[in-house]
Amino acid sequence: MRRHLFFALLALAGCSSDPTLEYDFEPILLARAPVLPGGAALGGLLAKVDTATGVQALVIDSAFPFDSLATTGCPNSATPGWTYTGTMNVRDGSDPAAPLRASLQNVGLFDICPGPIGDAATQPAGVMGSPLLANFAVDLVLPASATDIAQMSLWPSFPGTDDQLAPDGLVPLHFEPRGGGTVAQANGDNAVTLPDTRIVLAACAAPNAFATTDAQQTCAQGEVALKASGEDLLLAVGTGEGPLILSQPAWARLAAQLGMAADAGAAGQLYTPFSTTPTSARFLTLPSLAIFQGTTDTNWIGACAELARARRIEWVLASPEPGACFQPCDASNGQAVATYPYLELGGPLDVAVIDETSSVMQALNVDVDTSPQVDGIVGAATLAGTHLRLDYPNTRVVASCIDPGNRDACFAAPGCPGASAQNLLCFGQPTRPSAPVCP
Amino acid sequence: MPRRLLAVLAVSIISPATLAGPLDDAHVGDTGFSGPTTGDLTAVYWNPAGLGLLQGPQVMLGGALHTTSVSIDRTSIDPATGQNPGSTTFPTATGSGTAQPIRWPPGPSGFFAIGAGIGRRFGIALAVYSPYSSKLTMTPTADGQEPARYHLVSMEFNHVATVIGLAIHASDSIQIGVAPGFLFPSTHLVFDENTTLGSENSTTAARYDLATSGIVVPSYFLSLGAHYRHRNFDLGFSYTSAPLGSGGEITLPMDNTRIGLPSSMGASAALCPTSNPNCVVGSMTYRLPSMYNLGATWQATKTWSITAIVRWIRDSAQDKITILVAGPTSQTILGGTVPGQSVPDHIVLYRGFRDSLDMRGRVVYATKEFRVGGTLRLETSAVPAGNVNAAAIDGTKLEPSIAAEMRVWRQIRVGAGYAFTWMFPVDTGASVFDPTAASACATAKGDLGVPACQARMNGQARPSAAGTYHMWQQTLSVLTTFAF
Repeated sequence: MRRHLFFALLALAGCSSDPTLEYDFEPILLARAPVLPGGAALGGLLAKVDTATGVQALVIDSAFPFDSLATTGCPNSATPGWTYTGTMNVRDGSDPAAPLRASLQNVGLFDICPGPIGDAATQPAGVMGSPLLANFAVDLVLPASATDIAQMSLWPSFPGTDDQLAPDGLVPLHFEPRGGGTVAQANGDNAVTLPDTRIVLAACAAPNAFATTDAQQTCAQGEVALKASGEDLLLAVGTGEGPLILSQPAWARLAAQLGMAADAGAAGQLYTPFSTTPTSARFLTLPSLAIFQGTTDTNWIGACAELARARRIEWVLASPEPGACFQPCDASNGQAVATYPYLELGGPLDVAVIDETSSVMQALNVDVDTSPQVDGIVGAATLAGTHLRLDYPNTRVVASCIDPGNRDACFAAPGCPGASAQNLLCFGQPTRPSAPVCP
Repeated sequence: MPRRLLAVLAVSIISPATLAGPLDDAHVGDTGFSGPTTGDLTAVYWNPAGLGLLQGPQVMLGGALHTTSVSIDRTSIDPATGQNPGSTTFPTATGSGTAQPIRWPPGPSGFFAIGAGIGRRFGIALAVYSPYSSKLTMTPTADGQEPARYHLVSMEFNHVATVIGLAIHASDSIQIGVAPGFLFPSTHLVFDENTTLGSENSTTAARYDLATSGIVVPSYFLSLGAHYRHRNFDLGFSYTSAPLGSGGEITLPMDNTRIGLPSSMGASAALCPTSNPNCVVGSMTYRLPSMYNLGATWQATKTWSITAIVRWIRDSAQDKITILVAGPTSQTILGGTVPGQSVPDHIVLYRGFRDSLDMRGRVVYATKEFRVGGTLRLETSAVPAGNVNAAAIDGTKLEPSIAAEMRVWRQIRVGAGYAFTWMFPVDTGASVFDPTAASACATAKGDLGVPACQARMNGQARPSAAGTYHMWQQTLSVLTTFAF
């Protein structure tokens, strides 16, 4: 019943007509919440917003399923939780003067307080969630250092096709928007359709370390899955969360890969906008995470297997040996196959493991009837050091590294359409049309 | 034989019509006879209900040679602030545009249609034409100055429509019609962008040259119309939508995008690595107007008729042009934040148009073999005076035109028309463009509550366009009709 009420509220929040979105494409400076209580300020992205009681924090959260603004500010137990059509005046979150940077008028909002972000003291008055963000290509610059200021620019879309952007070092990761569904209203009115606006991407958690100076990995036909390392995950992109949040079952799978205990980590509290009360969590770290597209096709073999394949092909291209050959499992018709673009993030990466019955995980999987289970959220702290364009109109995330020279921290690898192709750069290396396939 | 030769010549001289300001072609089909009450294939554009008046098969092929000439006398500016007036003066800037449809992608204002009336119950047609177009190139002065560079160096906007029209007789006197169509745009725009927060300085100007490549994904639109005939009186009304499904917007991939860096950055500055010289990719977004047409024709005698036409062009939709650019991650110039050391990756060009009315009065004398007509057209300005700039020159326009058509063979008629358009000179007064807005907005940290930042957001934080603008145009159209 409460779930139905939630959806009815959500539908009404999205029913406003003719919103006016006033913005100027220029950067909006953002503050960042702590990753976890007492942690570095690399977590959830915070702008500021007008409320009746003054200017308060506004969390920018691409994983949050609706937009909210408590008209009388937060915390306020008297907020009715109902929906209204109003204005969200977005202000710089970092500049003390909090200049007005965007005015989103006549938009559907919940009059509700979200939960604190990162720690108990960081209480936003609202959430610019995925329905509002989905109107834009959201350009996010997330520096690796907490002393550098994060930025968000709103564009109507991001220019260029994938093929045009790849030579520029930009990694397009396509996704199928999720999080919506058709739900009956509790009051008996017609069922409503909720928009799919959540970004969900495939990922490979904790793969083996790799360097092109390592020994070549062999891979015979039929061994492509066997040679993969790490654990396949399906993660929502959540800019309002700090760490990499994993459900307990997802962590159990990963822990088995890593030879760690399923209950490893230090117990603590996770603060997210999904819940006004903290969520019990266990905190630990991972060495790395590779993020791939969220869509699949007939050639897709899974994130970890694709990562291993891309690394083997990169090894050949980077090899100084003129006779370096592609592995049989990576070749078709005597030529290397295409690789998928990916973004690899080095650690240690903060991870919060939470129960799958928590409100965070339930909210992430409201559409689980029709889609694969989402294992968690890749938060803003995990993405620190990257430049992301959440290009909703083109259903893709266009990613790059702020410091491309530090591969251990961030490596953006556009897809290689075929390492045997002419006149291309793949993984920063010239392709090798003459490279043979190993026997 | 001479008549056949004339017909061939008429077919081969296919030329376009263009305007320097709002995207519109006032002479789709021909210059002197077509309109909302016309019962020939030009009805696909003017009023698809008119297709219901077709009798038998018909083919039309034609176009219009159209030249535009402009001159701009810019108001002087203060060299320190860029505001008007001041000690820096400018020579008269001139520009011109001549377009023709025999090119690739197909040019504007060519007109081809084939259709037929079926059993006095239906009319159906397929047509290709260009309802929205604009072309103008500014000419550097003898000493190399380009006074209008921050608003326009050159532009060419073409939109080729492919339309199927269908009309049915709702009654003996009423026809209704519909014409859905695809719109294939192609664009080339060149202008300069000041990379500093100060006044105009040619050494700190970056040149943006953006063009589409080939034919891009079309948008679609719809025309609806009705035609009423009672004895010697015809009344026609039609509506043509803006592009549907996108709020009237057209977003074009600008695959041929080049940014010429300012000379102040030095010869070593570069956006693209040598391995990828075409590294910059862009997009351009703008709106097209919807349009209402109303026309009435009174057949005064067996040979004389009088027609009045009003077009209501919803030019107010054309509020701005948005340009977005992406480039390599290995450079810091594009999208950087250091004035003078970076070039913007997003630019808004303010338009701020308003609706315009195109009113025509026409007298036609027609016999079975020959017809001749004269039209006087008055069009209100789509651009408020303060918003006028080199890329959007418009004012009240007066246009006399004449047209004649004769039967050169049993099934072939050839018509020609000539129009001269004169725009009343526009003195902009205070320009809406404010060169101090960018620095004022930067001081205000981009606060959209500050007027300067509103101006920057709207694309008005550019060098002033104040001055006096002159424009005149000539149109020579030829149309050949094959009626079987």
